[in-house]
Amino acid sequence: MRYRTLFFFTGKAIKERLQRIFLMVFAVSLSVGLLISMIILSKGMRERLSEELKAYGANALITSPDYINEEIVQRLSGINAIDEVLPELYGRACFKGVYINVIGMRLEDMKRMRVTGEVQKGSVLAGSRLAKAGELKTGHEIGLSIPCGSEEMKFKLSGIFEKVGSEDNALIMELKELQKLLGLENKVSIIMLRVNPAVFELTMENLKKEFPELEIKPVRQIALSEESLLKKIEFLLFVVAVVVVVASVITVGGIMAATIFERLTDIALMKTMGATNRQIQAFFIVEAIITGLLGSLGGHLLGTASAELIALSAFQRAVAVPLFSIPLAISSGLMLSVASAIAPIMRITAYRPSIILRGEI
Amino acid sequence: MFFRVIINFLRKEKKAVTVIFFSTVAGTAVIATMLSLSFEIEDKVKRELRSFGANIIVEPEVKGLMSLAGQPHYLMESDIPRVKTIFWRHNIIGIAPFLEATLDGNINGKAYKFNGLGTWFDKELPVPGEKGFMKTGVFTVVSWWYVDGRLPLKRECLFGSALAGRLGLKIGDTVTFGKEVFTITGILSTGSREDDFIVMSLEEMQRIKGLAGRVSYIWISALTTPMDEFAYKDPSKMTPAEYEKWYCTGYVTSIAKQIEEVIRGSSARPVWRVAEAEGNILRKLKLAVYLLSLITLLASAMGLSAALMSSFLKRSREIGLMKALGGGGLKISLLLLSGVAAVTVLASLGGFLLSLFLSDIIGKEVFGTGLENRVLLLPIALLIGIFMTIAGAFLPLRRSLSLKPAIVLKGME
Amino acid sequence: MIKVRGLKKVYPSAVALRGVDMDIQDNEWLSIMGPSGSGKSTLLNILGGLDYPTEGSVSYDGKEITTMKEDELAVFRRENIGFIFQQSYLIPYLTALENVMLAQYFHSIVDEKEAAEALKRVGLSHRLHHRPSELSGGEQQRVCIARALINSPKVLLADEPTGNLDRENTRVILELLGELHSNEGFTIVLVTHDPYVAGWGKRLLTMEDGRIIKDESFHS
Ligand SMILES: Nc1ncnc2c1ncn2[C@@H]1O[C@H](COP(=O)(O)OP(=O)(O)OP(=O)(O)O)[C@@H](O)[C@H]1O
Ligand SMILES: [Mg+2]
Repeated sequence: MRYRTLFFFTGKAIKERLQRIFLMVFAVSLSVGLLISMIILSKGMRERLSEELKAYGANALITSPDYINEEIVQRLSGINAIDEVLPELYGRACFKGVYINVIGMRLEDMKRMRVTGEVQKGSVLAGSRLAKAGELKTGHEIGLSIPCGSEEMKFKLSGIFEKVGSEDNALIMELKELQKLLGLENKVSIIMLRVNPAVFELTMENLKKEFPELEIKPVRQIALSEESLLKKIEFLLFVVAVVVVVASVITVGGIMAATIFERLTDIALMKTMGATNRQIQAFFIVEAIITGLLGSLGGHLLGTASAELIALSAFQRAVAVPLFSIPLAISSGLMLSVASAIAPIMRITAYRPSIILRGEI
Repeated sequence: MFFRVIINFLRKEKKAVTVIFFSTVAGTAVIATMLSLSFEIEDKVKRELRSFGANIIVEPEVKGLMSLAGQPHYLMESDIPRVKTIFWRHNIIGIAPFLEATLDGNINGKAYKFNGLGTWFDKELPVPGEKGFMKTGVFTVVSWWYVDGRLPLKRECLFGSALAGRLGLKIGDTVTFGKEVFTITGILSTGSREDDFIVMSLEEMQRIKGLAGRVSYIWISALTTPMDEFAYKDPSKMTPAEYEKWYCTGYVTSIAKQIEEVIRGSSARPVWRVAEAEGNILRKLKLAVYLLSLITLLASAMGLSAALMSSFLKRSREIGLMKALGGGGLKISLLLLSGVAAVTVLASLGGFLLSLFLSDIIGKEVFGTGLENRVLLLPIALLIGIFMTIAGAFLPLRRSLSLKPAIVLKGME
Repeated sequence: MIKVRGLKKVYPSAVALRGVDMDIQDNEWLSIMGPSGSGKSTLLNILGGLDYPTEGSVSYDGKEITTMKEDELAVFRRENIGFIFQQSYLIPYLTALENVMLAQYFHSIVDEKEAAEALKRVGLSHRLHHRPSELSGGEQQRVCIARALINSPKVLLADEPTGNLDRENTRVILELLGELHSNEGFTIVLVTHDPYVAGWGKRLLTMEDGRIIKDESFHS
């Protein structure tokens, strides 16, 4: 009963002062919205960036003094934290009387290399330096023999690739064909891995346990830089979020204080009617709770909308809204509005009514 | 009288003034910080991304198949300083030449064939035509080389970790090349092929191989403009005007082209996976930070307006009284606004100063160097403060002014 | 009975009360007059527990109120005191009825019928759902009276309750007070500048410079 009347008067206070309440709800929404969008974005940013970082190439390598069995490739592909498994086989073949390097790989893995011409099953691709040195053009026929002088096998040159590195001096062909050519069925020389940078260390340890017979090494160039980049970006967002939240607490606090102080005579009046400080504070706290709830709902909508907007335009893809963002929005909105209401309420109820009614404050 | 009203407003309406002051400081500080952040995020992340290694590799030009398999070709070490004479010389932030060759070594009476690598470790390269030096060497290009021990000087070398492990060597052990005894001063781990190499200074490598002044290839780290559609056009098919534009934009391809022009017999090529990933990351990150700044800006501006609005709503009684005293709308607005404007100008100034501090902290904490403080932000902060005052005051002012003074004074507010 | 002894109130800039002694009997109607600044409002505020004196004591039926804590005072006020001021302090966003109900809420529980009844007694049964801004000054003051009396206080403290009203409205208010006073039997302490208003009381105190300089009783 008492609570119902408490809510009745608070509801009345809210309804009749809609403009002000709207201001407060709006201010809380803005802060909560910023916080939520920051959190969603930092999560999304991390995912998008690590996807983008894939382009830097493999961040782990599996080698072995001997050849590696191809069934390992299958087992690795089944692991969740590994985004890509790229097996390669190295060999040498005689071309126009000169031994050149030949790399066997699954041609569909060539996506990330710059290729002029095309990647075609059954044909080979030449590295840019090899093509330049041998004046090779797309469409030429390449005759390879192992060893020099033995019977030549003919391949069509379907494209020229550039990777920058020793590969540019080599010829690339389908893994299966090179295995056949070298008589190394189901063997590969090296497996390059693209491990999700978010769980890099852990995955590396698990791999070492699972494949004790293999040498598994991080490609430090990629792995180290990646981790530091992601950490920095995340930290940046965190710092910005802190700054923004602190600023909005100040603003919301100011608005709260202003709307509370503007009801000074109301409060003095309630006191002359014999209201205790606790009773008066209850009004304002309930009001702050309602404001906080409304604000966090608005803030959540605002935050997800702006985060999606940013994600769509910057990453061309929507980001997932984590479920925990809802309780987070509610708790932060409540905290924000209640915390910023408490200080002015405490101060205001401490004034003697006689002083307020004289108009001194 | 005008000033008396303002001064008394500032002195007596402490709460309203405090609210306006602090929310303006907070708002403008956040806005200015986000602005300075978005101004510099590109540059900062660019430098950050350079830790992924060289984005341009300079190698000897190849002619004929035999040049791949037969006698190795070399570049001239003496050409390297000329890299700092190209149009985009200030964008070159790292240079490391390498001489790669096999080494016949002898350890404890056993003969081995090693892969050897000579490079600059820490070299102050004189810049042609300028007084200064540029810090160059392998560590200006790579961030992932780790030396356990110390860097080698004369008659000293590093062993790659895999190699040292295989041979059971440690710091202080020696290896003989011809007649010269080299001491191992450190174990190098890089996570790639250098782990199987013996690495020493370029000078020592040139001396024991008799290849004075020669290098096999050069790694270069340059700050570049992300490749766009235009940059992918074939330069040989561009019109002179297009070529000029391409040449004078800091694309990785045009910088490579300019380097190729100054190093004799060279072919300089972008490391595509590094260059392209860098461009993509930069583009996306930049856009995200811009949009984020924009949203933060809007939100702070709205928060600021809301704070002002709340303080103006409170003054409707005052406005009613002034109207009752016969004040015109414009006069009243001016009177009320100028007091608030005085506060906001002061507060924007405070917000600007705070933003200098904040952006410095963010820059230092995140990127290791402070963001440049931009004086340009000062007028922007002031403008934002004043604009927000007007925006925040407009609605409540208009509303109060349109009310009949009697109603306001009677307490409808 | 209200006993006031040696009451002093000193402000940094002025002395409002320089030592006031008086007794107020139950059911008495006491008027207080005096020039502006003589300390009337200060005295009334201290009587009602809205303010603390610098020195001296105020006791209601032997219960000292100047030593009570804030919350005790609040409880004391809600049980014993009703206030009316010159300005009709009403909550602007509540209707006449709700303004009265708010006082019920602080006192005990809300009873809408009783609140409406109280407004009817002050002649406002047709104005229950009007906001303060929709009421005349006299009507607002009558809402304040209804509100002050809704919890049946023992004492009604009125600080220039008719200061803003014309003679006709003043008469209406005073008649209303007189009727309620004789029906319900509470004590009235009324501060005024108007001899006509003061004449409604049975006793008149005159203050000057923080002291009571005259204490007259009119027995009719
Ligand atoms: N909070 C205060 N601070 C300083 N001086 C005060 C304060 N309150 C009252 N006074 C002073 O105390 C004196 C008595 O004030 P009080 O309000 O009691 O006068 P009053 O008799 O009610 O006058 P009026 O008839 O004009 O209402 C005055 O001189 C006043 O200036
Ligand atoms: Mg008075």
